[in-house]
Amino acid sequence: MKQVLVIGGGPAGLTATKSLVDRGAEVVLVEKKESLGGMARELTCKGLVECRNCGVCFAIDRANDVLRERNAEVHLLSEVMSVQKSDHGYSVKIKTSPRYVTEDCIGCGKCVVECPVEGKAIFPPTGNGQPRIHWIERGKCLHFKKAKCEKCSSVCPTKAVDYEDRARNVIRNVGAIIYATGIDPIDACEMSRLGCGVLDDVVSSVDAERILNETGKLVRPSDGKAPKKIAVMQCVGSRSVKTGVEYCSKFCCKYATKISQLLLDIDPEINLDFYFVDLRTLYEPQDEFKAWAKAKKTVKLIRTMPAVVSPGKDGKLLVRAATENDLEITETEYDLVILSVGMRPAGANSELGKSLGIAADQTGFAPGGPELEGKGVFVCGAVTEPMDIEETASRAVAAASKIYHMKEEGA
Amino acid sequence: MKAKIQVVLCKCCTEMPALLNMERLQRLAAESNNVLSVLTVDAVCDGKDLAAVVTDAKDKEIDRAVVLACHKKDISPALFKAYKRAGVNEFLVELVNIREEVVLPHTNMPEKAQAKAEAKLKGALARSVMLSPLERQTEEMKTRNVVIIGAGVSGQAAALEASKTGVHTILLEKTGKTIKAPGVIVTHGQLLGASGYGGNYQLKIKAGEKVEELGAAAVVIATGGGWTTLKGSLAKAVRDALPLYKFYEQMQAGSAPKSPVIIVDTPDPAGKTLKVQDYAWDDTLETAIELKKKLPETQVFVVFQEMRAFGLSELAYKEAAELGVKFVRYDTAGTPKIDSKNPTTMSVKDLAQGEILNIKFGTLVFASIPPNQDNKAIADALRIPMSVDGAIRRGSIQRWPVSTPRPGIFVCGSALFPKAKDVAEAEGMAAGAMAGEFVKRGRIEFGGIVAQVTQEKCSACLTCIRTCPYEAPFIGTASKAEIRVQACQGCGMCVGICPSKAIELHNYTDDQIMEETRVLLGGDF
Repeated sequence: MKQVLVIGGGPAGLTATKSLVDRGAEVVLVEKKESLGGMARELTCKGLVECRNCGVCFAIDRANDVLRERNAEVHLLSEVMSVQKSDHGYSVKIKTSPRYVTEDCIGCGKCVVECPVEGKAIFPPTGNGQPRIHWIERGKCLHFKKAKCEKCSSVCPTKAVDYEDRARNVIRNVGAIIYATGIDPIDACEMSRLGCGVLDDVVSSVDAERILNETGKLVRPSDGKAPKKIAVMQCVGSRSVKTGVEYCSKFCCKYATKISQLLLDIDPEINLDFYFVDLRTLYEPQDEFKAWAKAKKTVKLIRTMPAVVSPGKDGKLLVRAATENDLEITETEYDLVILSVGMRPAGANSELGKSLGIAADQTGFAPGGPELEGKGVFVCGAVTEPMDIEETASRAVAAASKIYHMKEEGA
Repeated sequence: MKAKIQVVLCKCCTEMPALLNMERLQRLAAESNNVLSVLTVDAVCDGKDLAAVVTDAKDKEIDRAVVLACHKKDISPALFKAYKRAGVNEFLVELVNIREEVVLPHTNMPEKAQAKAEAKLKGALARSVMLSPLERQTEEMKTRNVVIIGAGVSGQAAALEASKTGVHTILLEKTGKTIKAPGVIVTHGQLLGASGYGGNYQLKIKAGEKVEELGAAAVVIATGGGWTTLKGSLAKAVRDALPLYKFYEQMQAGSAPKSPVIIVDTPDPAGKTLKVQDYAWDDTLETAIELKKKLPETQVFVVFQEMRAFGLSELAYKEAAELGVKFVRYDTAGTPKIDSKNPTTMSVKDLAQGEILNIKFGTLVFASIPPNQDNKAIADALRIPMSVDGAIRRGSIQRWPVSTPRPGIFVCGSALFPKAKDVAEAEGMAAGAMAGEFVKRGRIEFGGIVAQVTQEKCSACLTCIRTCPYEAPFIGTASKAEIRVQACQGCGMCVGICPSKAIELHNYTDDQIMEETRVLLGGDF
């Protein structure tokens, strides 16, 4: 039986891999980054009191599953260099960059403490990424410069640092390809009027989730104090002509409402103002969040797009916004502003994609389609159109099923 | 019989990062009662070390084990297989998660870590002595049937995908419309009742006039949503009112609607139940755009509470606005109303202008998709939860996306929440594929940690039967509660709620829990 190549180790790629392996297929999974999990690695579980069904743990659990499967060959820090059509499928050349840390790593983190490089040259896997094996960035590491530093290697309790690691090239023959390169979050600083990059206490939702995931609470980056008044702003980067992202990113309302609920769970005293244009909580009744906000006395829903965030008194932030009926302009002070950023497809227009026949349409997404599927190329996940983890997972299972039966028919 | 315990310390985790005093742990284990052997290995997941563990267990005729390592889900299943080879029951292997519960939270506190590790070891030893061996059993599925309720977009996709796995699909469709899908198609079919458990459900269905019994290994719920129609006095007064899909069909057939057209999201313009679950946002926009392109003279209003043009539908929203479709947003303070005395005018407070609009309309179109009316009966029959809005509730996404809390029951499409056609189709395929794979296994595995009723204590109060989400307890021939082990998932809800304390969960009995707690707390309490 031929193998299946899965490009991308995010929710889509992992779910598809797991589905295929469960059916008895063999999968080669190629991930560009050092760990599996994709975007979900840096997102936080949003259920402090009860599960809010955000789906983040689903992706991380699948990463764990896939790493334990014998029939899933996982290539981290790897890229697909070329794909050639062969008689019965595709011949794929995969290049793996050296990691310099072997699987003996137990993730204790002593090496990171010892590393003398500013900004460190040895890293733990990002967020909740799996496996929990560290890695060295060659460009920064002093060992590969004149210094011949070996500090991390000397403190490692399991002797997992291996400076002799080399790049490897492997060739695999596969019968089908799943292209699941996923998304990139929009940089909130593209919307300069909202103070990102200039004001310390304006954070993007990606940063907020990362901080919540790492520390369990959200503090002001400028002085480390707990914020008392927070503004959450929707549609930053999405539905905007300026950033070129004219579509709605679909999942921002879902995660932002859940982050708001999480923040209130952590500290019920927080005053939270939720600025939005349309409340599009995905696959949830539209009045559910409204009812929740109404029940919490400290939460206010404001339907407007704030104009400017500027520095206020005593290190606070001043948000200028028109009221809903455009009759007045309000100025409100906040301790912290969270910008809910949308997403752009990643790798919809790559060289590799083009060689497979995948091209982005005018919206920037690569929808795939029956024609490509006939050739054994399946585009899957949020690179096809905006979607959340749950929908991604359903579609990945569907794609895996299609591939599995396609293989049977062909055999 | 005296217990013979083997203690295994996994160095991969416990010494990490050289935090614990292994010798003290070893001595503590060796000095405890019933411990015959203490092994320290480099990694319990490693083949060589596993072999050493098995040889030692066989030599000393061990019958139970305590393993100090990491989380159960991180430990290779090979460990349990190895113990099975050595004749140790898998339910007598007690795992202690040293890595996540001791080492990682106490990296800078070696003394506390040591104390905690020792306490946990003592607790595990005390628990291990009290455990009893359990067996898991298997049962063949009686049929290869996958029953799919609803033959809409998601139902048909599910049938197609499930049939590819070689199972037998039966599609229940409430109406009499002709459907092209593999397997048996039962028109005018309905689910009346169900009993059984994942793999062997017994369904009672209505096929036309007949009521039949039907065995099913798995069930896919694809009931979809419903459509709103006018009721009461308004139904007589407003002539040209129709749901969106009918309007679209008529438009496709070439008939020109009476202008102006209002597409409204509320399920009840009489103004009583205004709870909007959701409406067909993308179909609304598509219809409005097509109408405007075909007949630019027609005035089109879209009246809504919240424009939920998700994802790429946003582009359609923009296009519709550019084509001159008028969007009127209202909220609960100024809902759209039609007076039955003046049935061609809708009054609604437009929030963009802050004024009440009186729109004279020629055609009224409903785009609201309320949850399917049949959901309640189906959810009751299959004992799966519903959301407050009357939709089927999905299981936690931690499992799989289209699964429900009950094994073998899957749910997809608008039965969960109004969805676009392509999403419903993908979900249907996923549900069908998963149901197919579930049935293809051919057998179910059950037993192990399940509940058991002490019949003498049972007063047949039915509390457990009402509580269990899996339909495991039933009243047996002795008029006492019994547990259907095939259905029991070992959640322990009945154990906690039983007023007579008649139910216990294997290996989590009161005595076992109390003894472990007593040791953990360091003596009597």
